[in-house]
Amino acid sequence: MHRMIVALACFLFCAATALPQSTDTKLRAYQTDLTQAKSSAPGSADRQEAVKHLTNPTFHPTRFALFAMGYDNVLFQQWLNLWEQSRTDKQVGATATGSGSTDLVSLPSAPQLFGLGTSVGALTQTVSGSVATFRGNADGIIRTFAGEPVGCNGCTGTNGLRNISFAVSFDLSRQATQQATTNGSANSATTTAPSTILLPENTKQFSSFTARYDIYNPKDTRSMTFQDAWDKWSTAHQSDLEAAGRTLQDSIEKLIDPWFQNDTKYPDLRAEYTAKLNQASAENIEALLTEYLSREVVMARSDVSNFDESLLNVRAAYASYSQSYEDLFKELRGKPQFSAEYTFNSPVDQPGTHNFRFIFASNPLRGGGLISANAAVTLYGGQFPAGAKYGRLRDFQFAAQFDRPLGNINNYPAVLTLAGYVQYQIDPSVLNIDAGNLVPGTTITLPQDAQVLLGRSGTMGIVQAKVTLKLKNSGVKIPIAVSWANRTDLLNATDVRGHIGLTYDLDSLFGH
Amino acid sequence: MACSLEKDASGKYDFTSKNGLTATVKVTATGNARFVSARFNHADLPVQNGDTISFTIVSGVNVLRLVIAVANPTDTIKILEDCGGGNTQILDHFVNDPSDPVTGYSILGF
Repeated sequence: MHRMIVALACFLFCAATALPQSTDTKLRAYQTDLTQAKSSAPGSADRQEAVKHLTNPTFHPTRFALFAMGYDNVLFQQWLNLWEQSRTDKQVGATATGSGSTDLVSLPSAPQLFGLGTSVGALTQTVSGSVATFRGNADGIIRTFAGEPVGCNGCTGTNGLRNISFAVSFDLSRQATQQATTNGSANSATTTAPSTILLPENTKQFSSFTARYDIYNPKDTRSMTFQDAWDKWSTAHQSDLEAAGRTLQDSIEKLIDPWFQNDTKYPDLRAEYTAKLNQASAENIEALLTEYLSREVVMARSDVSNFDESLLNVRAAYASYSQSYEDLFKELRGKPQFSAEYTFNSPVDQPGTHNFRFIFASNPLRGGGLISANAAVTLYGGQFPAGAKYGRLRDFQFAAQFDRPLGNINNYPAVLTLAGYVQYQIDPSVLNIDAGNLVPGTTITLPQDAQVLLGRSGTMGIVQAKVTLKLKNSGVKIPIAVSWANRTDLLNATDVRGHIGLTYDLDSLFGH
Repeated sequence: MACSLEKDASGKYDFTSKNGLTATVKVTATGNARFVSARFNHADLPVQNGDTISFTIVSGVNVLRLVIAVANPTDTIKILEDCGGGNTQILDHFVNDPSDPVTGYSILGF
């Protein structure tokens, strides 16, 4: 398992270094033309073509507006951010029913970039855990290290990689001991010195590793289905688009044309930097472009009587453009999602297990709610001891969940979740007792590792109610839950528990 | 038949043209492409067949601004001048950026 994690980390790092590095963040909107300019020879036709676009403030004029505002975002990012904020289908924290997980059901999506989560509680386990989970997407991580945008319209990600995500959970509360031999008493008052004692040990805190493959996830903004839905929507809303286009034209004309069209000094400025950029070495291009754009801003501030207001109007035009996407949101919400997940669990004092989970989610009414279902099977891992009274197959699981945003479904403050979980366990649970522990009820120290069966085989049922609070536009969510179980894995008694967690979806931070 | 627009070698403008000439401009891409809206010197231009506009150059700096939609978000857009007689010239070509569907050009009329 450790080798697998190291190999995965090496793979991601090596892939990241193979992609081109990013430019200055204020120039990121110019990246395509900058890359072409830097990769072409001074004076070449390719260089001239790129420079023509770079020096033309009305070629994708939001680039200039964003430079003048000092923002590193673009129109589509605002809409993607709104979409990401409205989603209820992401599994950020520990996978369902893992140690310390607050979830009975694994949701069908994972963050496109990173997710971090901590949670306290347990659902199927007798012993509660406290775990921290790091979740990431292979394509998102590579693109982030390389300075590439993770989500944008037209950015479909790398085939295969965008469907793969992983999660590693670490148990924050796990304790362990090791047996040590003493060297006799340290003073005369200690007449009977123990020959061995148990010392606290550096705990092996790894709790679980999860790998997930999104079989069909049209809510992933990088998927072709998502991009196609965008295309169909824009065709069906032609008149709306035309109106939005006119609004954009109005705001851009007021911001740019007073100097682009009417200032007699502007053509000389453009000609000066066109010549410089055409002949510049690759390493000087960004600095020259920044200088040119800064001079454009100075000229614009001089020529546009209410420059700052015009900038805000441009931004407002984009914001109102974003508001018209409700129909597209509805269409995307109505599409089903399928994922497959593998989890290696290393529970406290129990054999490691391999869990294979199939995840389905749908929203047939296209509203804010989401119905998710999981079907899973768990196998015991590792070598079996001689004469084991249990088989490789540990259990079957089925779980279902309904999530309903509370309040505005696009910008909700909380999500109510109702979930049910059924597990059929083939044999009683297996408990490992390490050498050095006492045989229960005696003072006899176990000379070697032992295994006992606890609990019973049969059906375990759990129901859960949960409210997940969302801190506005931050990507931070706080799930608070209560669950009832007819039994746990080691004990047969009913069990009522509280759960709390904290998750952070970095997709929101990166504005997509 | 000669084209109306000529690329400006001075770097001051995108194109130059003689006053009074009429230019016919089209948008094409590998997939479907159309003008959502087009303006010339702040006046809306009628769009013919979804992909063609015409305008007449006047003296001074003219501004043509276009809002373009394409079916394939990663498509490469070509802006062409229809010079008549089956002749065209490529005015510009670029990979579509749906984040910003607006593009524009300055044309010096002399």
